[in-house]
Amino acid sequence: MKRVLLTSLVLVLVFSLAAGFAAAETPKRGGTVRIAGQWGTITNNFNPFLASGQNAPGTRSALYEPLIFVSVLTGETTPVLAVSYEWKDNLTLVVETREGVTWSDGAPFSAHDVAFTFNYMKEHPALDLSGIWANGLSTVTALDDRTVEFKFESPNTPLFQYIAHTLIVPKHIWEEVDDPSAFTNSDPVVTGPFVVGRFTSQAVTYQRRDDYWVEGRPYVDQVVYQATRSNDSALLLLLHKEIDYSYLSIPDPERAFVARDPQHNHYWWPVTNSNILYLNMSKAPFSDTAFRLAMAYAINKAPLSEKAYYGVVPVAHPTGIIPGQQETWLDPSLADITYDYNPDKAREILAEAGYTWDSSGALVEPSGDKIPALRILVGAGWTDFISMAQLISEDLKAVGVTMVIEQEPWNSYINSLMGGTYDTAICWGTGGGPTPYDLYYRTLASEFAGLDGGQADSNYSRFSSAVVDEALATYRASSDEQEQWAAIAAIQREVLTQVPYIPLTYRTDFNCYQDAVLIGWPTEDNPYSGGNPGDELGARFMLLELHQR
Amino acid sequence: MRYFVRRIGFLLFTAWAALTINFILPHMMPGNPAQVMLAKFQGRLSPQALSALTEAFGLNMDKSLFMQYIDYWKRIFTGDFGISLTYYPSRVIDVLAESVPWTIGLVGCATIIAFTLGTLLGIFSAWRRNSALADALVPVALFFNSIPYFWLSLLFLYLFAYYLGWFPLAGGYNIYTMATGFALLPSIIHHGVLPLSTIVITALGGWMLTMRNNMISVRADDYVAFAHAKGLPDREIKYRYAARNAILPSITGFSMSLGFVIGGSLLTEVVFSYPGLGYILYQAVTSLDYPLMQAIFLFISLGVLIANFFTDMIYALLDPRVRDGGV
Repeated sequence: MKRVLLTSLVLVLVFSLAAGFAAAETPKRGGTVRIAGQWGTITNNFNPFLASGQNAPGTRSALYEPLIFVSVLTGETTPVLAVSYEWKDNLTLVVETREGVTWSDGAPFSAHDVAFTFNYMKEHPALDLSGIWANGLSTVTALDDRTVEFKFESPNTPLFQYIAHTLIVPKHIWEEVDDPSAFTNSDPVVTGPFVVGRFTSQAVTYQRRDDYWVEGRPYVDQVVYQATRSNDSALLLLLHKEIDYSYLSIPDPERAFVARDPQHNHYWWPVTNSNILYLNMSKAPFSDTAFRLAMAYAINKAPLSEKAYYGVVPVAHPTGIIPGQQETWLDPSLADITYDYNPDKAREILAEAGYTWDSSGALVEPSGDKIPALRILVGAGWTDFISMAQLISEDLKAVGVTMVIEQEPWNSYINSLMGGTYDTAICWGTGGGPTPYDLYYRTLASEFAGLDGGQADSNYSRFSSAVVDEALATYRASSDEQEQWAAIAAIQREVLTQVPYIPLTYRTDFNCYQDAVLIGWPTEDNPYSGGNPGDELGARFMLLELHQR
Repeated sequence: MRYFVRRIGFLLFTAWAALTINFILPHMMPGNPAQVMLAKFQGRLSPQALSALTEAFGLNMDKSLFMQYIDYWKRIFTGDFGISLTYYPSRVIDVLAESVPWTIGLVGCATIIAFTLGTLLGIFSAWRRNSALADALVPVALFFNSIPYFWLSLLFLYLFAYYLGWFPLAGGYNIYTMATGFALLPSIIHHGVLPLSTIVITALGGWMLTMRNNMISVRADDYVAFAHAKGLPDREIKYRYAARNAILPSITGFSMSLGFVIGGSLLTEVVFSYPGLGYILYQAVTSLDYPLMQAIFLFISLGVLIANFFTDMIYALLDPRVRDGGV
């Protein structure tokens, strides 16, 4: 029974963030935060229940607010509309909501709005994108104006992050809406720091609210989200200082961006995921553990980072766990399984398992069949993945395996992955979250493996292991840190010994900004936005923090 | 009259065929929209979202392909194209309404300018053959015609917008101005110059060369020689007799490209971040947004068919042989 008191954390956030650069003077007021992104065309839609990208950028950062923000980088929680939360037991979560918050139409915010939001999602399953109600939540009740109680029928503590991140809507507006998933909500009533100013399909402007509940925030008067149609456009705008921030993947950020103005141009690319070589375990030879193990040794990972990412994105940990979570979650007893590049070892493993090589040096299965050319699936034109695939196929030649690179456009790429028609594929980790549970649950749980011959929604390797499924269930049913740690450790062991996939390089978020006009940006040392893009939940903190020089 | 009826019959048949293909093709693409949407989030969205998305998009309705085909025709006749999945829950018609004016403004103007300018230059270079200037136009036109569009537009963007700063880097107008309506026009023109000129420059050469070739062969015709012999003014022969005949093949090409205007210009839109339908169509295709895709392809097909129909009509007016011969 762990009691987490978050009030102090709020104080820490509000004061300490500013403290670093403006200890003595209060930050200047006014100005505009200009953000560009490849949104293409913006639709007049501020419905916070829809997947981001369908609603206008800013809906999730400038307008609506969640109960609590959970950082993917550190796992830290920061209360927003909640003040504190407590797991009474693994089936009851009690959240205390904040006092003194008003909706932008003047009505007071209360726990009833929170209860309404969740029950509304139950009533309209199309809104429940995180599957909260489908995974164990049974009732949500407002006990009084400040307390909400979540009751579960089966324990599922990792659902907490989805509950925490659900954007809260005003009951008095939304109870009148009959078909919320088709509601564009063009005049949103919000608790957030901004309200909609001017909307066009190319840019949306948000104006500062004077009655916002965080005293004295935001510092800036407005935020503009400008839609571009390519990353190149956004980069040029950033170099011209016509925008302040963009979430932008640049091939060589040091040379193409920072070097143009080292004093003001900065990027912060925190690792949030990994690029993974998925092996289709429903097919030979990948159904053989020895073969997968040999592949893990045969691939030289350091050049992948060098060639595909100019060394900016480092080589991934073999467990797939991201750096921010390694200290807490890595099992030290597994530290010696590293899969360092070792083609001799790979050949040794193969020979031991009964594989042979024919006169031309090509690998032959123990059954006597020659292994045919195997495919590496990548998205068409995705240069980083293509260069990795080239290096991998070179590496595997050394053990007698021929790899053919197969480029497919987006739809067929995803369809091949989910449909299980691929051999090997480079793709991202299909799960991410504040703990490694999210990665392992989505990439390894047999429920997502399409074992009945159907679609594999996220377990692309089609891996199925009783050990992993059991450990995931143990983790879900627990809120005890030790028990959860042991469950994750069991999965790590399984990942390292079974090799359902091979993590290649990390995958980062792409925050790029110039600080000639505005300061207070989230950085490696002060990662208060959780690395989120400028239109996601964590960016709310950025919009509150930024101010003129 | 018989010619006219036959043309209409042909128009209706090709329209039916094109629209049916337009219905079938998207459904043959692999995957389903909810799946694609889930994958686009690269792990940020839980797999459980699949059922929510399926429900929201109305994909769980068990409808036979034939019933969907019937609905599709109903939609065409009522003009209700349903709800876009990419820009869910906006109506397809609203998504199109945002972009169509930009596309027609940019690609339409560019096509007309390129055709007019190209044709005039073609006439000039054919009529003044052997003069240094007229002959130099040919390799220049070939050069611009074969230059990769992407490369030229990036070069223009970098040179005139980024380096020299004469023109804006992105967008269709200044998003920071409070002006609306006609007050916005100067800004729109300023933003349109670069995208427009790149399209015109690359398209110009084709029109010029076609016109030039036609002019040269017409110039050798007996009736032109006769007109010269009769002592008609050079100018009159050039435009009223030679060019009028030589332009017929170009007109066909021109009306076809007018029909294709509605498809927008994806590359221009990407390089200059210019609003328009090309990018919308690209989004629709990659997200398997059937309603949006079908609506755009519908307009493209109709655009081309109708443009073709009018060309046939204009031909009949310009050239009596076409209607009498019953070609």
